[in-house]
Amino acid sequence: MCKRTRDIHPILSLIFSLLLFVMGLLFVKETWFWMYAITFSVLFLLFRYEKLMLKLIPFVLVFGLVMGSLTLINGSMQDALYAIYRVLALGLAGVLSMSIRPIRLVRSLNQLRVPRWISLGLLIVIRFIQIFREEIRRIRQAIALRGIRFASTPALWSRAFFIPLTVRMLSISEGLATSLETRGFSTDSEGSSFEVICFKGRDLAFSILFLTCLTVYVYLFLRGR
Amino acid sequence: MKSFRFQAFTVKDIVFLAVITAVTLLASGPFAPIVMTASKIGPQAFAMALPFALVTSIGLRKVKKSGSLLIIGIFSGLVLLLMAPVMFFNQFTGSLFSESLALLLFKNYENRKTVLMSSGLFAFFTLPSTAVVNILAKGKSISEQIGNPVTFALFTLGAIALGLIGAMIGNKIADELQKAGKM
Amino acid sequence: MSCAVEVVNLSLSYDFSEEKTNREKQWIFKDLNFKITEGDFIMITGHSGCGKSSLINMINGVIPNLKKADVQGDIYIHGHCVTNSPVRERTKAVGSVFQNPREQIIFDQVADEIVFPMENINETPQRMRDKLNSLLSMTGLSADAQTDTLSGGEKQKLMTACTLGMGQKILLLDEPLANMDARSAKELLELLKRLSDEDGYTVILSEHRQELVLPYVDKIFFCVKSTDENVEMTLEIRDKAEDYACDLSSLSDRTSREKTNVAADAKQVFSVENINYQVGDRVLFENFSWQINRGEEWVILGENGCGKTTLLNLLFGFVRPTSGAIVSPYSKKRNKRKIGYVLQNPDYQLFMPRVKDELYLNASSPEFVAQLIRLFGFEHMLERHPLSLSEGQKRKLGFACIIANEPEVLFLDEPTVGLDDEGMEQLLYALQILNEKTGNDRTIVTVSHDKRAIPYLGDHFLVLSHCEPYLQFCNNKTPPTSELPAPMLTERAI
Repeated sequence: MCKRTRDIHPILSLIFSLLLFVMGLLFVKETWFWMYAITFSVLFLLFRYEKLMLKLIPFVLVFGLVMGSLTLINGSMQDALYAIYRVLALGLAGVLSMSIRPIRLVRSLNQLRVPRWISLGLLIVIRFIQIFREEIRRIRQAIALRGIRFASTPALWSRAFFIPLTVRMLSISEGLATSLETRGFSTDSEGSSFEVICFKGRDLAFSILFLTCLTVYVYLFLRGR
Repeated sequence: MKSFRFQAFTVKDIVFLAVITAVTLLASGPFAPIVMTASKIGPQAFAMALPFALVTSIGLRKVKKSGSLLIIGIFSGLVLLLMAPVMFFNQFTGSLFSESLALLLFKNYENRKTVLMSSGLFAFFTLPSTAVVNILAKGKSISEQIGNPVTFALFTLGAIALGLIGAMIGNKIADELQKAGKM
Repeated sequence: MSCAVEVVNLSLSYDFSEEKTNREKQWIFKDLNFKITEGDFIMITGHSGCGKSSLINMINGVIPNLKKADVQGDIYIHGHCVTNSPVRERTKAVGSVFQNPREQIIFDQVADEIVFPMENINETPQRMRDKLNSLLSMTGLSADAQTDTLSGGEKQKLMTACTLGMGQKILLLDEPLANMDARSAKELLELLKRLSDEDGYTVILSEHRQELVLPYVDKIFFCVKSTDENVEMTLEIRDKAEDYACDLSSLSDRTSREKTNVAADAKQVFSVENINYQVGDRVLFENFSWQINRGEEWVILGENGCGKTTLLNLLFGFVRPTSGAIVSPYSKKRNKRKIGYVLQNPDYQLFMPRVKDELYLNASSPEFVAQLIRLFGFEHMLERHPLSLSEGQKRKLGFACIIANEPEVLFLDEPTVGLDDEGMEQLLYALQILNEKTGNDRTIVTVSHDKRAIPYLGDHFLVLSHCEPYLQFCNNKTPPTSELPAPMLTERAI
C-alpha cells in the first residue's frame, strides 16, 4: 500500500540531487549561475522544502565564506566567487538528498532488488553515526575525568581515546548483530515490505518542472559554448 | 599460506563493517566538504588518510574476508551519496583499488601486510577518481588540478605515509584487544 | 500443559584447551536438567557473571552459533531437539530481548522498528498492520514517535514489541530491567505477566534485581556456586516465589556508615542557584536550587530520563545550565582534578595495558592502592589486561581507579549496577576507607536505582520527579520509602 506522504520518491530525489550538483559545478563560471540557484530555490519552496533550506543556509554561508576566503589567498576575486558558487551548488543538491528519509530509501532500494544487507548496512551507518558521536563525547569526558590532556600527554590521550572507542565498536556491533539475528534478519532472505514506495502525481509534477528548468539552463550553457 | 578466496559475509560481519563505516565517516567527516569542493587534488587525501586507515584497519583485522574494505567503501559512499553524490565514486574506487592491489599481492587478510596496504593506501587511491570527477564535472585539466607539482608530490607522499602510519596504529590496537580476548 | 523448554544434561565451557579432558576442563555449568511448562513465568537470578545470560543465550542459540563455546547436552523446544539448530531456526519458536535497547534500534520511527522483524519473516502487509496496531495498544507506544526520543523503559518496551510481533510463544529476556527505574520496570513486568497469564506465553527472564521481579514470577531458577571445583555454578529451582526472600544478610555492619562529625557550619561545595536546563524542547530543571556541603553524602533518586546523570554532569561542568549558576570552588580548572567521577559503564574509563597500570595511574598513595587491591581481590590479576576481566570485575576496577586518586568530591553514577552483594559490600567498604582517610570530610553524590544499595550510599536524598512538586528533598537519614525493597532493607539499614 502507498503511504500518503509529501516526500518526493527517494530514488528521484537522489537522481535529481546528483544532476543538480554536477550541473551546478558545470555552470559555476556562467554569468547566469545565480539565476540557476534562484530558480531551483523557488522550485523547492513550491514543494515545501523551506525547513530544510533554512537548516542548510548556515552551512552554505559559513562554508562558502571559508572556501571563498581560502581561494582568495592564492587566487582572484573571481575564483573566490566560483568557490562560493560551488558550495551553493552543494547546498542546492543537499536540499533534495537530505530530504530523503533513510527508511524510504531502503525500502525503495529493496523494491529495486538491491540486496537487503546493503540497505540494512546503510541504515546502520546512518543511525550509528549519531550513536558514535555520543560515544565519542562520553569517551572524551571519561578522559577528562582521569585528568589526561592531549597537550601534555598526547600518547596517553590517544590510548585513552582509541582503546575504549574500539571496545565500544566491538561491543555495540556484537549486541546489534545478535539482536538482528534473533529478530529474524538474514543476509540471504529477501523479506517482505510493510510499505510500497510508489510514484505519485506529486513526483510527476516535480519531475516535469525540475527537468524543464534544467533543460533551459543546459540549453543556455550549450548556446554559450 | 592460504590462497585468495571469497567467503560469505555473516550478519555479524556486515554489522561490524557498518559500525566501522559510521566511525570512519565521523573521523573523516570534517574533511568531507573540502573533498567535495576543492579544486586541487592532494590535500583531501592527505587530510583523510590517517583517521580512515586507523579505523578501517581495525575493521579488517576483525572481518578478515576479501571484499571487506569494498563493503566499507560502498557503505560510506552510499551515505555520502546523500550529501554529495560525487563522493560515492571517490569512496568506491578508493576501496576497490587499494583492496584489489593488496589482495593481489598478499592473497588474503590473514597476512597483516594485506591489512596495512589495503587500509593504508585507500586515501591515495581516491586521487584518480577525484581527478576524473573534476575533469568531467568541473572541466579542470589534470595539470590545473595538480597545480604546483612539488606541493602535489608532498601531499601524495604524505597521504601514503599517514595512511600507513594510521594502519599500523590500528593494527597495534587490534593486537592488544586480541590479547585481551576482545577481538 | 505441555513442555515449552526442556534442558537435558546441558553443560557450558569457555575453556578451549584441546589437551584437557571433560573432567579437567573449567565449566560454567555442567549437566543441568530442567523443564519449563508452557505459560510459566520464570526468573533466572544470581550474582553478576554467574552464567544467567549464558543460559538464556544457549536456549536462543546465540551460544554456540554466534559466541564460540563448548556446549554439551540437549535443548528441546516444544518437544523438538534444537541443539544443532542455527539462531534463525530457533527464532521461529523463541523470541529474545536483550539489554541496551538504544544500541539495537536501527529505525527512526517506532512503527518501522516494530514491523522490521515481521518483514524478515515475510509477513503480509495486512497482517503486519494488524499486529502493529495491537502491539502499539498493548505497549502504549505511538507509531510515529521518534525512537531516539523514547526513554530507556520505552525503548525496552519497543524491543519487546518487536519480539512479540514475530509471534513466538516463548520469550527470553536477558536483564531487560537494567537501568530501568521502578515504574518503567513495573510496567514492563505487568505486560509480561499479562502475556503469561492471559495469552499462554512462556516468559524466561534473567535479572539480578530480584525484588523487582519476585511478585510476578511462578518459579525462580537461582544460580548458586557449585560444590564441584571445576564447575562454577549450578541451578536451584524454587517453586513458590512468595516463599523466597532476597538474601542480603551478607552485607555486614561495616557497610552501615554512621556519619556523626559533619560540622554544622560545613562549607558549601556546590551551590546550585535557580538553574534552568533543557534538552531540545524538554525541560529537565526549572528554577532548581540545591546546596551541597562538604562531607555530605547525597543520593539522587528518580525515574529514568528525569535528569539524574545530567545533574552530575552539570555539577562537574560537562554541561552548562541554560540559565542560572552553579557556584563551586571545584568549577575552576585546577580544582577539577579533585573531583572523582565514576561512570556507569567502566568500558569508557579503562584503557591501560595492565590492571596494575590502571590502578597506579594518577594514584595518590601506593599504600591506598595496595589496600584497594586487597579489598577487591585484584592480587591475582594485576598483570592481566583490564578488558579481559569480567563485567563485575571491570566495574570494581573502574571504581578503584577513580578513588585511588583520593578525590575530595566523588560522583558515582549507578556504581552498583551488575554487582552482586559481595561486590557491593566491597565497594561500600572502600568508600568507608576513603572517608576515614580524611575524617569524614569527603563529599559524595551518587545516582542510583539499586534499592539494595540506596540506604547505604548516603544520608541525604534528592528525588527528581516529572510530577509536581518538581523536586522533593528528604533531608533526613531515611530514603523515600518508594525506593526501598520492603521489608528487609528498611529494618536493617536505617
